[in-house]
Amino acid sequence: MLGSSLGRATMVGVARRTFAAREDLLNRISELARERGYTIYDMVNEALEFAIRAYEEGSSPLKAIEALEELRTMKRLGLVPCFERLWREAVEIAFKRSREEALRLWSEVGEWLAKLYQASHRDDPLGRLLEDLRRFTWRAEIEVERGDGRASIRVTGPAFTEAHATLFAALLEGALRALGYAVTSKEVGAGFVRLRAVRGG
Amino acid sequence: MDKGKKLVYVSEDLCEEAKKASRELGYSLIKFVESSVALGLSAAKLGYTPERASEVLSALRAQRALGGAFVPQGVLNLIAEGPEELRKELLRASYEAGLAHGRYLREKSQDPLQSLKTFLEVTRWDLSEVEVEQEGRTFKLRCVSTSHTARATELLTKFVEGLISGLGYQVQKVDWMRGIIIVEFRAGP
Repeated sequence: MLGSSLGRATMVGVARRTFAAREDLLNRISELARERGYTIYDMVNEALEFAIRAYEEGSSPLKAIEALEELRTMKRLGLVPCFERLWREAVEIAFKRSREEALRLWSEVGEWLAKLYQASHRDDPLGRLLEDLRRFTWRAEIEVERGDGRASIRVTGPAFTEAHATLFAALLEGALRALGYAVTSKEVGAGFVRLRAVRGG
Repeated sequence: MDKGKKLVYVSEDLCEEAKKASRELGYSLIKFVESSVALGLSAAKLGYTPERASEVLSALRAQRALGGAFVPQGVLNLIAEGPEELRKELLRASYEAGLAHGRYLREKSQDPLQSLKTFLEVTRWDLSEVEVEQEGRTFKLRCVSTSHTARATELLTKFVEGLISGLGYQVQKVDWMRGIIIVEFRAGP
Protein backbone atom coordinates (compact mmCIF):
# COMPACT_ATOMS: atom_id res chain seq x y z
CA MET A 1 0.00 0.00 0.00
CA LEU A 2 2.87 2.35 0.72
CA GLY A 3 5.34 3.68 -1.77
CA SER A 4 2.68 3.98 -4.41
CA SER A 5 2.23 6.93 -6.70
CA LEU A 6 -0.53 7.91 -4.33
CA GLY A 7 2.07 7.98 -1.62
CA ARG A 8 1.87 11.63 -0.70
CA ALA A 9 0.18 10.43 2.43
CA THR A 10 3.37 8.90 3.80
CA MET A 11 4.98 12.24 4.57
CA VAL A 12 6.84 12.66 7.80
CA GLY A 13 6.79 15.88 9.77
CA VAL A 14 3.94 17.46 7.82
CA ALA A 15 1.14 19.42 9.40
CA ARG A 16 -1.77 17.27 10.47
CA ARG A 17 -5.35 17.80 11.39
CA THR A 18 -7.38 15.74 13.78
CA PHE A 19 -10.89 14.48 13.14
CA ALA A 20 -13.36 12.54 15.22
CA ALA A 21 -14.49 9.78 12.84
CA ARG A 22 -16.65 6.69 13.20
CA GLU A 23 -15.01 4.25 15.55
CA ASP A 24 -16.16 1.11 13.70
CA LEU A 25 -14.53 2.29 10.45
CA LEU A 26 -11.33 3.28 12.19
CA ASN A 27 -11.16 -0.01 14.06
CA ARG A 28 -11.44 -1.90 10.78
CA ILE A 29 -8.81 0.17 9.03
CA SER A 30 -6.61 -0.08 12.08
CA GLU A 31 -6.90 -3.87 11.89
CA LEU A 32 -6.00 -3.78 8.20
CA ALA A 33 -3.03 -1.52 8.94
CA ARG A 34 -1.81 -3.98 11.59
CA GLU A 35 -2.13 -6.91 9.15
CA ARG A 36 -0.10 -5.06 6.55
CA GLY A 37 2.42 -3.58 8.95
CA TYR A 38 1.49 0.04 8.29
CA THR A 39 0.33 2.86 10.51
CA ILE A 40 -3.30 3.86 10.67
CA TYR A 41 -2.20 7.38 9.65
CA ASP A 42 -0.78 6.04 6.37
CA MET A 43 -3.84 3.94 5.66
CA VAL A 44 -6.31 6.74 6.30
CA ASN A 45 -4.34 9.24 4.23
CA GLU A 46 -3.98 6.87 1.30
CA ALA A 47 -7.69 6.14 1.41
CA LEU A 48 -8.31 9.87 1.40
CA GLU A 49 -6.04 10.35 -1.61
CA PHE A 50 -7.88 7.58 -3.40
CA ALA A 51 -11.21 9.30 -2.71
CA ILE A 52 -9.83 12.63 -3.92
CA ARG A 53 -8.61 11.03 -7.12
CA ALA A 54 -12.00 9.40 -7.63
CA TYR A 55 -13.60 12.80 -7.10
CA GLU A 56 -11.27 14.36 -9.68
CA GLU A 57 -12.45 11.74 -12.14
CA GLY A 58 -16.08 12.57 -11.49
CA SER A 59 -17.06 10.13 -8.77
CA SER A 60 -17.99 10.51 -5.11
CA PRO A 61 -16.50 8.04 -2.58
CA LEU A 62 -19.90 6.39 -2.23
CA LYS A 63 -20.25 5.94 -6.00
CA ALA A 64 -16.72 4.52 -6.11
CA ILE A 65 -17.63 2.02 -3.37
CA GLU A 66 -20.71 1.04 -5.36
CA ALA A 67 -18.60 0.54 -8.49
CA LEU A 68 -16.17 -1.71 -6.61
CA GLU A 69 -19.03 -3.74 -5.13
CA GLU A 70 -20.53 -4.14 -8.62
CA LEU A 71 -17.19 -5.35 -9.89
CA ARG A 72 -17.08 -7.97 -7.15
CA THR A 73 -20.57 -9.18 -8.06
CA MET A 74 -19.77 -9.28 -11.79
CA LYS A 75 -16.72 -11.41 -11.14
CA ARG A 76 -18.80 -13.75 -8.98
CA LEU A 77 -21.42 -14.06 -11.69
CA GLY A 78 -18.81 -15.07 -14.25
CA LEU A 79 -19.57 -12.04 -16.38
CA VAL A 80 -16.84 -10.80 -18.69
CA PRO A 81 -16.66 -7.47 -20.45
CA CYS A 82 -17.66 -7.25 -24.05
CA PHE A 83 -18.22 -4.39 -26.45
CA GLU A 84 -21.98 -3.94 -26.42
CA ARG A 85 -22.41 -3.49 -30.16
CA LEU A 86 -20.32 -6.61 -30.79
CA TRP A 87 -22.36 -8.52 -28.22
CA ARG A 88 -25.67 -7.52 -29.72
CA GLU A 89 -24.61 -8.33 -33.29
CA ALA A 90 -23.08 -11.63 -32.23
CA VAL A 91 -26.21 -12.71 -30.34
CA GLU A 92 -28.33 -12.00 -33.39
CA ILE A 93 -26.09 -13.98 -35.73
CA ALA A 94 -25.65 -16.90 -33.31
CA PHE A 95 -29.41 -17.10 -32.77
CA LYS A 96 -30.10 -17.22 -36.49
CA ARG A 97 -27.38 -19.79 -37.12
CA SER A 98 -27.89 -22.23 -34.27
CA ARG A 99 -31.10 -21.37 -32.47
CA GLU A 100 -31.49 -24.65 -30.55
CA GLU A 101 -27.95 -24.66 -29.26
CA ALA A 102 -28.16 -21.01 -28.24
CA LEU A 103 -31.43 -21.65 -26.36
CA ARG A 104 -29.96 -24.65 -24.59
CA LEU A 105 -26.88 -22.73 -23.49
CA TRP A 106 -28.77 -19.68 -22.25
CA SER A 107 -31.06 -21.95 -20.30
CA GLU A 108 -28.01 -23.65 -18.74
CA VAL A 109 -26.53 -20.28 -17.83
CA GLY A 110 -29.84 -19.41 -16.12
CA GLU A 111 -29.76 -22.66 -14.14
CA TRP A 112 -26.17 -22.12 -13.13
CA LEU A 113 -26.84 -18.57 -11.98
CA ALA A 114 -29.90 -19.65 -10.01
CA LYS A 115 -27.91 -22.32 -8.19
CA LEU A 116 -25.21 -19.79 -7.39
CA TYR A 117 -27.78 -17.37 -5.95
CA GLN A 118 -29.59 -20.11 -4.11
CA ALA A 119 -26.37 -20.90 -2.29
CA SER A 120 -25.42 -17.31 -1.52
CA HIS A 121 -28.74 -15.46 -1.12
CA ARG A 122 -30.99 -17.84 0.73
CA ASP A 123 -33.45 -15.06 1.59
CA ASP A 124 -34.45 -14.21 -1.98
CA PRO A 125 -32.34 -15.86 -4.68
CA LEU A 126 -34.73 -15.06 -7.54
CA GLY A 127 -35.14 -11.39 -6.61
CA ARG A 128 -31.41 -10.87 -6.15
CA LEU A 129 -30.55 -12.63 -9.40
CA LEU A 130 -33.03 -10.57 -11.40
CA GLU A 131 -31.81 -7.36 -9.82
CA ASP A 132 -28.18 -8.15 -10.69
CA LEU A 133 -29.06 -9.16 -14.25
CA ARG A 134 -30.88 -5.88 -14.68
CA ARG A 135 -27.94 -3.88 -13.36
CA PHE A 136 -25.09 -5.54 -15.18
CA THR A 137 -26.07 -7.17 -18.37
CA TRP A 138 -29.32 -6.29 -20.00
CA ARG A 139 -30.47 -2.74 -19.88
CA ALA A 140 -34.05 -3.65 -19.36
CA GLU A 141 -36.78 -3.09 -16.82
CA ILE A 142 -37.58 -6.22 -14.84
CA GLU A 143 -40.69 -6.40 -12.70
CA VAL A 144 -41.46 -9.35 -10.46
CA GLU A 145 -44.65 -10.17 -8.59
CA ARG A 146 -44.76 -13.09 -6.22
CA GLY A 147 -47.19 -14.66 -3.80
CA ASP A 148 -48.84 -18.01 -2.98
CA GLY A 149 -46.06 -19.94 -4.68
CA ARG A 150 -46.52 -18.06 -7.92
CA ALA A 151 -44.14 -15.75 -9.75
CA SER A 152 -44.82 -13.38 -12.58
CA ILE A 153 -41.89 -11.74 -14.37
CA ARG A 154 -42.20 -8.96 -16.88
CA VAL A 155 -39.17 -7.70 -18.77
CA THR A 156 -39.30 -4.72 -21.07
CA GLY A 157 -36.40 -3.19 -22.96
CA PRO A 158 -36.50 -1.13 -26.14
CA ALA A 159 -33.13 -2.58 -27.19
CA PHE A 160 -34.45 -6.15 -26.92
CA THR A 161 -34.72 -7.62 -30.38
CA GLU A 162 -36.76 -10.79 -30.82
CA ALA A 163 -33.59 -12.87 -30.62
CA HIS A 164 -32.46 -11.19 -27.40
CA ALA A 165 -35.90 -11.49 -25.84
CA THR A 166 -36.18 -15.17 -26.77
CA LEU A 167 -32.75 -15.98 -25.35
CA PHE A 168 -33.36 -13.96 -22.21
CA ALA A 169 -36.62 -15.85 -21.73
CA ALA A 170 -34.64 -19.11 -22.01
CA LEU A 171 -32.24 -17.87 -19.34
CA LEU A 172 -35.13 -16.96 -17.03
CA GLU A 173 -36.82 -20.31 -17.62
CA GLY A 174 -33.58 -22.09 -16.73
CA ALA A 175 -33.29 -20.03 -13.55
CA LEU A 176 -36.90 -20.60 -12.56
CA ARG A 177 -36.60 -24.34 -13.13
CA ALA A 178 -33.49 -24.52 -10.94
CA LEU A 179 -35.35 -22.64 -8.20
CA GLY A 180 -38.19 -25.14 -8.24
CA TYR A 181 -40.70 -23.30 -10.42
CA ALA A 182 -42.52 -24.58 -13.49
CA VAL A 183 -43.31 -22.06 -16.19
CA THR A 184 -47.05 -21.99 -16.87
CA SER A 185 -47.19 -19.31 -19.53
CA LYS A 186 -44.74 -17.44 -21.70
CA GLU A 187 -45.05 -14.50 -24.06
CA VAL A 188 -42.00 -13.26 -25.93
CA GLY A 189 -41.59 -10.62 -28.59
CA ALA A 190 -39.32 -7.77 -29.61
CA GLY A 191 -38.99 -5.51 -26.56
CA PHE A 192 -40.67 -7.76 -23.99
CA VAL A 193 -40.75 -11.07 -22.13
CA ARG A 194 -43.56 -12.16 -19.84
CA LEU A 195 -43.35 -15.36 -17.82
CA ARG A 196 -45.67 -16.86 -15.26
CA ALA A 197 -44.52 -19.72 -13.08
CA VAL A 198 -45.71 -21.79 -10.16
CA ARG A 199 -43.52 -23.33 -7.51
CA GLY A 200 -43.33 -27.11 -7.63
CA GLY A 201 -45.78 -27.21 -10.55
CA MET B 1 -16.25 13.63 21.64
CA ASP B 2 -19.36 11.75 20.50
CA LYS B 3 -19.82 8.20 21.59
CA GLY B 4 -18.68 5.83 18.86
CA LYS B 5 -16.13 8.30 17.53
CA LYS B 6 -12.39 8.07 17.55
CA LEU B 7 -9.65 10.53 16.67
CA VAL B 8 -7.81 10.21 13.39
CA TYR B 9 -5.00 12.31 11.92
CA VAL B 10 -5.04 13.55 8.35
CA SER B 11 -2.29 15.50 6.60
CA GLU B 12 -3.05 19.19 6.26
CA ASP B 13 -2.32 19.16 2.50
CA LEU B 14 -4.83 16.42 1.86
CA CYS B 15 -7.28 18.17 4.09
CA GLU B 16 -7.35 21.17 1.80
CA GLU B 17 -8.04 18.97 -1.24
CA ALA B 18 -10.64 16.99 0.69
CA LYS B 19 -12.36 20.23 1.74
CA LYS B 20 -12.71 21.27 -1.88
CA ALA B 21 -14.03 17.88 -2.95
CA SER B 22 -16.46 17.60 -0.05
CA ARG B 23 -17.81 21.10 -0.70
CA GLU B 24 -18.48 20.23 -4.36
CA LEU B 25 -20.12 16.96 -3.40
CA GLY B 26 -22.23 18.55 -0.70
CA TYR B 27 -20.59 16.43 2.01
CA SER B 28 -19.32 17.60 5.36
CA LEU B 29 -15.55 17.20 5.64
CA ILE B 30 -15.88 14.49 8.25
CA LYS B 31 -18.34 12.58 6.06
CA PHE B 32 -15.83 12.77 3.22
CA VAL B 33 -13.07 11.43 5.47
CA GLU B 34 -15.30 8.62 6.73
CA SER B 35 -16.45 7.74 3.21
CA SER B 36 -12.81 7.67 2.10
CA VAL B 37 -11.96 5.21 4.84
CA ALA B 38 -14.95 3.08 3.82
CA LEU B 39 -13.73 3.24 0.21
CA GLY B 40 -10.25 2.10 1.27
CA LEU B 41 -11.82 -0.83 3.15
CA SER B 42 -13.98 -1.72 0.17
CA ALA B 43 -10.90 -1.81 -2.08
CA ALA B 44 -9.06 -3.96 0.45
CA LYS B 45 -11.97 -6.44 0.46
CA LEU B 46 -11.33 -6.94 -3.25
CA GLY B 47 -7.61 -7.35 -2.61
CA TYR B 48 -6.74 -3.97 -4.13
CA THR B 49 -4.48 -1.25 -2.83
CA PRO B 50 -6.03 2.23 -3.20
CA GLU B 51 -3.75 2.86 -6.17
CA ARG B 52 -4.85 -0.34 -7.88
CA ALA B 53 -8.48 0.32 -7.08
CA SER B 54 -8.10 3.74 -8.64
CA GLU B 55 -6.79 2.15 -11.86
CA VAL B 56 -9.63 -0.37 -11.77
CA LEU B 57 -12.23 2.37 -11.53
CA SER B 58 -10.64 4.27 -14.43
CA ALA B 59 -10.64 1.13 -16.58
CA LEU B 60 -14.27 0.41 -15.74
CA ARG B 61 -15.14 3.97 -16.63
CA ALA B 62 -13.41 3.55 -20.00
CA GLN B 63 -15.29 0.29 -20.55
CA ARG B 64 -18.62 1.98 -19.83
CA ALA B 65 -17.79 5.13 -21.82
CA LEU B 66 -17.16 2.97 -24.87
CA GLY B 67 -20.44 1.11 -24.58
CA GLY B 68 -19.20 -1.98 -22.81
CA ALA B 69 -21.55 -4.65 -21.55
CA PHE B 70 -20.86 -7.47 -19.10
CA VAL B 71 -21.97 -10.82 -20.41
CA PRO B 72 -21.81 -14.47 -19.30
CA GLN B 73 -18.53 -16.00 -20.38
CA GLY B 74 -20.16 -19.31 -21.38
CA VAL B 75 -22.48 -17.54 -23.79
CA LEU B 76 -19.63 -15.51 -25.22
CA ASN B 77 -17.62 -18.69 -25.74
CA LEU B 78 -20.54 -20.30 -27.57
CA ILE B 79 -20.94 -17.29 -29.81
CA ALA B 80 -17.23 -17.37 -30.60
CA GLU B 81 -17.68 -21.01 -31.71
CA GLY B 82 -20.14 -20.00 -34.41
CA PRO B 83 -19.84 -20.70 -38.15
CA GLU B 84 -17.06 -19.33 -40.37
CA GLU B 85 -19.07 -16.36 -41.60
CA LEU B 86 -19.84 -15.34 -38.02
CA ARG B 87 -16.22 -15.87 -37.02
CA LYS B 88 -14.95 -13.46 -39.64
CA GLU B 89 -17.52 -10.87 -38.69
CA LEU B 90 -16.71 -11.20 -35.01
CA LEU B 91 -12.97 -10.91 -35.60
CA ARG B 92 -13.49 -7.73 -37.57
CA ALA B 93 -15.81 -6.24 -34.96
CA SER B 94 -13.45 -7.30 -32.18
CA TYR B 95 -10.48 -5.55 -33.82
CA GLU B 96 -12.55 -2.39 -34.26
CA ALA B 97 -13.66 -2.51 -30.64
CA GLY B 98 -10.01 -2.82 -29.54
CA LEU B 99 -9.03 0.08 -31.77
CA ALA B 100 -11.72 2.30 -30.24
CA HIS B 101 -10.65 1.34 -26.70
CA GLY B 102 -6.98 1.98 -27.56
CA ARG B 103 -7.70 5.42 -28.97
CA TYR B 104 -9.75 6.33 -25.93
CA LEU B 105 -7.03 5.19 -23.54
CA ARG B 106 -4.40 7.05 -25.55
CA GLU B 107 -6.33 10.28 -25.09
CA LYS B 108 -6.84 9.69 -21.39
CA SER B 109 -3.50 8.32 -20.32
CA GLN B 110 0.01 9.66 -19.77
CA ASP B 111 1.50 6.16 -19.90
CA PRO B 112 -0.05 4.09 -22.74
CA LEU B 113 1.94 0.97 -21.92
CA GLN B 114 0.79 0.92 -18.32
CA SER B 115 -2.73 1.67 -19.51
CA LEU B 116 -2.65 -1.32 -21.83
CA LYS B 117 -1.57 -3.68 -19.05
CA THR B 118 -3.95 -2.26 -16.49
CA PHE B 119 -6.90 -2.20 -18.86
CA LEU B 120 -6.45 -5.88 -19.69
CA GLU B 121 -5.79 -6.89 -16.09
CA VAL B 122 -8.76 -5.14 -14.61
CA THR B 123 -11.40 -5.59 -17.27
CA ARG B 124 -10.43 -9.08 -18.42
CA TRP B 125 -10.44 -11.00 -15.17
CA ASP B 126 -10.79 -14.13 -17.26
CA LEU B 127 -7.05 -13.64 -17.91
CA SER B 128 -4.83 -15.24 -15.31
CA GLU B 129 -1.71 -13.43 -16.43
CA VAL B 130 -0.93 -10.21 -18.30
CA GLU B 131 2.74 -9.31 -18.75
CA VAL B 132 4.51 -6.69 -20.83
CA GLU B 133 8.26 -7.05 -21.37
CA GLN B 134 10.56 -4.60 -23.08
CA GLU B 135 13.45 -5.71 -25.28
CA GLY B 136 15.16 -2.64 -26.70
CA ARG B 137 12.54 -0.78 -28.70
CA THR B 138 10.29 -3.78 -28.91
CA PHE B 139 7.62 -4.73 -26.40
CA LYS B 140 6.15 -8.15 -25.89
CA LEU B 141 2.67 -8.61 -24.41
CA ARG B 142 1.72 -12.02 -23.03
CA CYS B 143 -1.83 -12.88 -21.92
CA VAL B 144 -2.75 -16.23 -20.44
CA SER B 145 -6.19 -17.63 -19.69
CA THR B 146 -7.12 -21.09 -18.50
CA SER B 147 -10.80 -20.63 -19.30
CA HIS B 148 -10.69 -19.57 -22.94
CA THR B 149 -11.55 -21.79 -25.86
CA ALA B 150 -9.41 -21.49 -29.01
CA ARG B 151 -12.03 -19.30 -30.70
CA ALA B 152 -12.39 -17.08 -27.63
CA THR B 153 -8.60 -16.66 -27.58
CA GLU B 154 -8.60 -15.73 -31.26
CA LEU B 155 -11.33 -13.18 -30.63
CA LEU B 156 -9.42 -11.61 -27.75
CA THR B 157 -6.23 -11.61 -29.85
CA LYS B 158 -7.94 -9.43 -32.42
CA PHE B 159 -9.21 -7.13 -29.69
CA VAL B 160 -5.68 -6.83 -28.26
CA GLU B 161 -4.23 -6.13 -31.71
CA GLY B 162 -6.73 -3.32 -32.16
CA LEU B 163 -6.05 -2.04 -28.64
CA ILE B 164 -2.29 -1.86 -29.26
CA SER B 165 -2.75 -0.13 -32.63
CA GLY B 166 -5.24 2.31 -31.12
CA LEU B 167 -2.69 3.20 -28.45
CA GLY B 168 -0.33 4.26 -31.24
CA TYR B 169 2.03 1.25 -31.35
CA GLN B 170 2.96 -0.78 -34.42
CA VAL B 171 2.12 -4.45 -34.13
CA GLN B 172 5.10 -6.53 -35.35
CA LYS B 173 4.13 -10.12 -34.68
CA VAL B 174 1.09 -11.93 -33.33
CA ASP B 175 1.16 -15.46 -32.03
CA TRP B 176 -1.70 -17.24 -30.30
CA MET B 177 -2.92 -20.66 -29.34
CA ARG B 178 -5.73 -21.72 -27.01
CA GLY B 179 -5.40 -19.69 -23.80
CA ILE B 180 -2.19 -17.85 -24.77
CA ILE B 181 -1.68 -14.63 -26.70
CA ILE B 182 1.74 -13.14 -27.50
CA VAL B 183 1.96 -9.84 -29.37
CA GLU B 184 5.18 -8.05 -30.22
CA PHE B 185 4.95 -4.37 -30.96
CA ARG B 186 7.01 -1.20 -31.01
CA ALA B 187 6.48 2.51 -30.60
CA GLY B 188 5.00 4.16 -33.67
CA PRO B 189 7.03 6.45 -35.97
